[in-house]
Amino acid sequence: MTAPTADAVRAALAGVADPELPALSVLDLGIVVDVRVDTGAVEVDLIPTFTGCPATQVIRDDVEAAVRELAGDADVRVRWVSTPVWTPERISARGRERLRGFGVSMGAACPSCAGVRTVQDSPFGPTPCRAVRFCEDCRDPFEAMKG
Amino acid sequence: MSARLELLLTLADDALVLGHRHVQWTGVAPHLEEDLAFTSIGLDAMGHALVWYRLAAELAGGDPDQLALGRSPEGYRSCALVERPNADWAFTVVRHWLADTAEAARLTWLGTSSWEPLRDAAAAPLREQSWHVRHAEEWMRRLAAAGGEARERMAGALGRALPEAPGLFAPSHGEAELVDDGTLAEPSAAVLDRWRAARAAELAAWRLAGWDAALDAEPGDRTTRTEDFAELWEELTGLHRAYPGARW
Repeated sequence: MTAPTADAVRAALAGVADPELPALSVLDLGIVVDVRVDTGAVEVDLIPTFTGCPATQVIRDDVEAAVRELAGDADVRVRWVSTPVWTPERISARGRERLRGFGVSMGAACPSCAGVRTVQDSPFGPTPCRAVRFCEDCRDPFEAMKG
Repeated sequence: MSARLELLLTLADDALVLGHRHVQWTGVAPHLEEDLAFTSIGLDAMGHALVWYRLAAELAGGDPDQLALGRSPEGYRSCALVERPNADWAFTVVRHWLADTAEAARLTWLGTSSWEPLRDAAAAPLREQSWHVRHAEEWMRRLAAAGGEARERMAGALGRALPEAPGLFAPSHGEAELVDDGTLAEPSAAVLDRWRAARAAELAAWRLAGWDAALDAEPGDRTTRTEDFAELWEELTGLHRAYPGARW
């Protein structure tokens, strides 16, 4: 079996959900920085959203499993790299849409009513990458990606 | 051991120990918001430690977990201030402010390294560090303005923490070599001087002046662990040592 193309690998990664934000794939989240295919090896470089992300082991294993399905005899190497630095700007357009549906905003706008009369409640939310905001109109809190 | 490896382990050990102290508030903080804050900040610190241990493992071989959790107490390079227990809320806030502003200063310094992997590795931690600093400053401001018991406890906390604060910048073994070869753009003493001046100005602004002289203490070195480290080491490494090679 020949090694897959980089495009085929990326297509497979579109099916790997982020464990903390399962509405998004690892591609949507912008944590895949490079895919390299060579004779005999497939390499994927990932960056964490935040360095202490507790899901990195699971993400790495899920990415490796997805790539192995295509890789045949080729070596599969998935590794965490430190450059570039992740920011919410790396989230794809599709990802932003999915986030809104999941109740997480990209910035100050409320994901429910799209209003901007919102205030920060706490910079520390349920995961390292999310803060908590409050919508004055909905009278409800919501999560926002930390930029 | 190479000077670069010493630097990485020094950075990593400070982050690991500080992170452990921060997350010791999980479940027992005075209110839920602070429980979440310290858990998040501590988790970030663990992430920073992992960044350094990973780079150290690339340099020297071995495994980041083994580096982090597999040494005997004498093998660590953490400074005194990060080893101290959380004690009361005032000490927690003061130590958080000192240690996390120092970390921000060090990360900025590392961002000017001529050694690209170090420069790259420091970037994400520096971005995350800004939230820690803002949180610490907010609490310092709040407690400084509160008066009464808060003022008394702050005085006690500053009295204990400030003399050990310069130790946050105690150089790693072989630092002079790293300055020579450009791995470090300047000695830690220069970073310490600027940090001291900035903290003294803030103490004055919060009307906690009179304490800035305590910041003039010498940084000392990292050769011995404090009397608080043994218990911390037991808790941090106990599981890893009890079940070597365990997988989750």
